[in-house]
Amino acid sequence: MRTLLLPLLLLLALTSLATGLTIGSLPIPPSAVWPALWDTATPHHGVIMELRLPRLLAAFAVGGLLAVAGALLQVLLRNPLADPYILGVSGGAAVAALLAMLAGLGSWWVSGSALLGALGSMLLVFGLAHGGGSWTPARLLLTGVVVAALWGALISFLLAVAPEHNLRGMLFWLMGDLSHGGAWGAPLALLLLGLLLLLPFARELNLLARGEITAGSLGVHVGRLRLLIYFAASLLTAAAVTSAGSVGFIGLIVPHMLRLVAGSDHRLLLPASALLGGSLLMLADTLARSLIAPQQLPVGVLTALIGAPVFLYLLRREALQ
Amino acid sequence: MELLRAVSLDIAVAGRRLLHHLSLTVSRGQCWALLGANGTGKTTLLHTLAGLRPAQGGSLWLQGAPLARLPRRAIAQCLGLLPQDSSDSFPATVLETALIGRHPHLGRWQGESAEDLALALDALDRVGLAGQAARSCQTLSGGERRRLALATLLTQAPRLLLLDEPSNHLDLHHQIAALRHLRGLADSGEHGVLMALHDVNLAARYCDHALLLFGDGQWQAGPAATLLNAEALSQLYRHPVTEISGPDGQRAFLPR
Repeated sequence: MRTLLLPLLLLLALTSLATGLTIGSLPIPPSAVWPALWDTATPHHGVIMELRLPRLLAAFAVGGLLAVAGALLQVLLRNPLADPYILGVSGGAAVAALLAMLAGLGSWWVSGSALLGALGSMLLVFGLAHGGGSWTPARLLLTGVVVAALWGALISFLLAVAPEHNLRGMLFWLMGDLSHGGAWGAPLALLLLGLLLLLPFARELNLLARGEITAGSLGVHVGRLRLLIYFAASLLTAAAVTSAGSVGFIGLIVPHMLRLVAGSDHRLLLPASALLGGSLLMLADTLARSLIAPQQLPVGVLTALIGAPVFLYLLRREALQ
Repeated sequence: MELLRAVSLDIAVAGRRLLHHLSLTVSRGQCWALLGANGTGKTTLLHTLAGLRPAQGGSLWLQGAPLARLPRRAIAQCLGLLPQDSSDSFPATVLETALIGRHPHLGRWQGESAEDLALALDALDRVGLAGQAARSCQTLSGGERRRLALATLLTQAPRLLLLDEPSNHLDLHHQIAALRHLRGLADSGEHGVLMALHDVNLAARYCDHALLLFGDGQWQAGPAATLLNAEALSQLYRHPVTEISGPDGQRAFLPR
């Protein structure tokens, strides 16, 4: 199972990509997809290269970033139920993005503000939790959850005072949405870079998951590793939130599901999370834009609608074992 | 040969002084018992000796090098700690858990070799978990978990073994087996052992040296044969203890 996991997930990713390319308000037969990718003269070239492929790649990158960030935070907080938003990174991004929308700024400004908001929130939570110099996962968790609650209140406030014509865009952003064709290059590059940087630390993650005394006595510099995980997970989340808003459940459910199936070896879990998270978000986004076409749903609604029951099923199965 | 040396070590927790000017040398071939009542600082001392928390004063030397300046990985190659309790938040198998002991011996880009695997399987065998390699840790009993933690330490194969209550949760047979094995490691002349114990009889039977912590900064260290007596133990635990002789002439202590 474990040796086959990555090839299988790669296959799933490619299948999801191919499915996403064929389905949509303009169905393209599978046989026409391959030539349309390469030949500018084919009729579907524009739709595929300008619309579907960039959006699918963005979905893959965002899903992968969220799943990897979730896996990291689960180790940092030693809690299998942690998700990338738990420490308030997405809340900070949302407040900043909504402010930019209220100010009537363009989508570049919205993304830029979201990134700044996410990074600001990351530093704020770290600064507050760090406090006297020592910080524990419990302290970080409490600080993050409270700061996230503060962002939540600010978001509600902004929604309450926002003029009618801004509301729809703001709500879509909050629910997680890929329809404004977010950039795919930067998030995809960050995902690959993040994996390359983190994989050499994967064995240390395995140790930290077993507690700081065990990790420390086996040669891990716990303080440094925690810093690395916190900032890596926050940056990955910030990149995901900047491109697609707060897409829920991917970051919680993907690593958890993989841990149940393949164990907790992060040398396998990190790349597997990237592939599975990316595939699931590509599939969810394909559904989001085709279920009630030509209308589009925010993809975050679908990930939560599918994610919540799947998660409950997994919990139940775990309890029965 | 000297493994770990503490020079006038001071240890305090939350402003309360637990140890004052502790000086101690643990060498290869020695098996030390660390005894003291609850809350006298046995675990804190073991964590300090392992370099996991700073001392309030004094210095520590690992094979002649200053412990505070050694990288964690270098420490872990030569010094191992059996923690008091191990928790598993995430699913893992018995073999995976034993194999983490190889971590300090592997490079960042290196995976476990067949040799590492053989070491882990051998350690599982030595603690009586042979044939359980594929089991999930979550299905283990308390005693089995304890033996698995010991197997992880044996897989790490450090020169100096620090153990925090290795006999916890173990049944009578496995207590004897574990302590006999640890004593065997010391007797081989390659390893030194220092373990916190609550069972003074195990300490008297398997350890050649003892360190007594009285909790107010006072301590005593020396050969177990002379240091462990009814009077010292009565004072240590603030409870009267009598010494009796077993059928084979071994010393035993009974609380009154």
